[in-house]
Amino acid sequence: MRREVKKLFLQACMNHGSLSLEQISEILEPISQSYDDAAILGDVKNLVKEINSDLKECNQELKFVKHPLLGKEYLVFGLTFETPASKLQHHYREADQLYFAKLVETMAVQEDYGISWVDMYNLPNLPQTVKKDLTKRRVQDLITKWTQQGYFLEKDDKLFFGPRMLVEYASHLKTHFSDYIKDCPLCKNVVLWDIKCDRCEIKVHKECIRTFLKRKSNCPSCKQVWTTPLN
Amino acid sequence: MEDEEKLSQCRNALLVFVINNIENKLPIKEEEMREILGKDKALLKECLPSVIQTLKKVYGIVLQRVPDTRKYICYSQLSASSTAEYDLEQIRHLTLLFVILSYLLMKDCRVDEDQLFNFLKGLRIDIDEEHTYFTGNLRKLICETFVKQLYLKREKSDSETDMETRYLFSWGYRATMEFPPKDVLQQTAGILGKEARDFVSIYNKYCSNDNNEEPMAVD
Repeated sequence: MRREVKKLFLQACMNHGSLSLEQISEILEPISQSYDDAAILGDVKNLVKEINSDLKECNQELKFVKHPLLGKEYLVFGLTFETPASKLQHHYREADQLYFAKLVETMAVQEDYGISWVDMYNLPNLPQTVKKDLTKRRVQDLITKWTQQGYFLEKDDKLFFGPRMLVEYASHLKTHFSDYIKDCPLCKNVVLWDIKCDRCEIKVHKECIRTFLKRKSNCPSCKQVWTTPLN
Repeated sequence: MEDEEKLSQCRNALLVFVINNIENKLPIKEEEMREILGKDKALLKECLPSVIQTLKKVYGIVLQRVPDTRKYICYSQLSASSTAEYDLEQIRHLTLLFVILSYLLMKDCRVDEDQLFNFLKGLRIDIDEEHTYFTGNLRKLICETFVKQLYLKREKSDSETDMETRYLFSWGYRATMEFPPKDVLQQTAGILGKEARDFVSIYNKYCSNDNNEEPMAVD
């Protein structure tokens, strides 16, 4: 029974790409009824841990990630490292894949890592052949699909990196846009929005600095007294 | 040890390739899988059984060869407990497919495409107009995407009396795996407020063997 519950939940995670906590409940309630296993509802973290131990040797994982822009937690299904095969999703045309790459590139160099709808339709440096292949409708469909899969999220009429991007593309973003995207000096994971030191302007995760400041009172980078308000 | 490690890497690469292509539902060609492994035929033969086993054991997904072809399809071996397990586009597609497949099943034969489209029109699904729920280009979805995904078979009519080319629709191989015909019959009968047994010839064809029942006599 437990085995079937794990498989069904994993399939749902793969179907959605990323799930909010509300979606997790919507999925697990009917499964718990079908398999008469009410315990899973209060024990999602353990269920995910069990699935991850099965997935470990397949280079995939389910990972909880808190998205700083929405302050919400998501469960993301992603690859733990890039393989040549991971780039070969043959249902996306070459133009779609190039558009995805250009979109990520454009977002990565923005101050807020966001892009407006107008800019999405007029990405700079897109080859003419790609432009010809991408109608406005196609761009809309692709963005909707990628947003549903958790690669992007919409907020205040702009598009930002979504929870799945933070999990699957973090190392890609760091490597290719190292002038713009850096690690949090405290947890060594990518930090995009969150909070900056007033003095040296280094970015850190809000949660990380909150914990850090319980023990110390200086910036972990410039060592001067931390003065940026946390709220 | 080195060989074992290389084999394990190849298995993983193949597994990731299959997983990445589950969502689009297009059949995976043997040739594409070979390419992942540097076109090594023997390596594919060695890796494939364990990939099939892992997909079933960890993901509950069946990777199966389509009879008489060199293509494979993936489908879940488990029934979903609710539509929440699917994303919105999947729900839209599966709903439309259920409508089409149940119609084809109740007709119990290949159906002329105009006949199918008229039936859909009767349900206010005009395949040449934007639909508020199903959205997108429905003609392309039905005539191309569902056909490529092997949910539907679309064949030219072989009738010699036809003046124009006619196309006939029937169930595709994937449909028979993902939508067991007896379940579709039972659900369709339920929607019509009847028992599956009321549709005698279809019931005899798809259900009577299950319970070792004697086929019912057709009036």
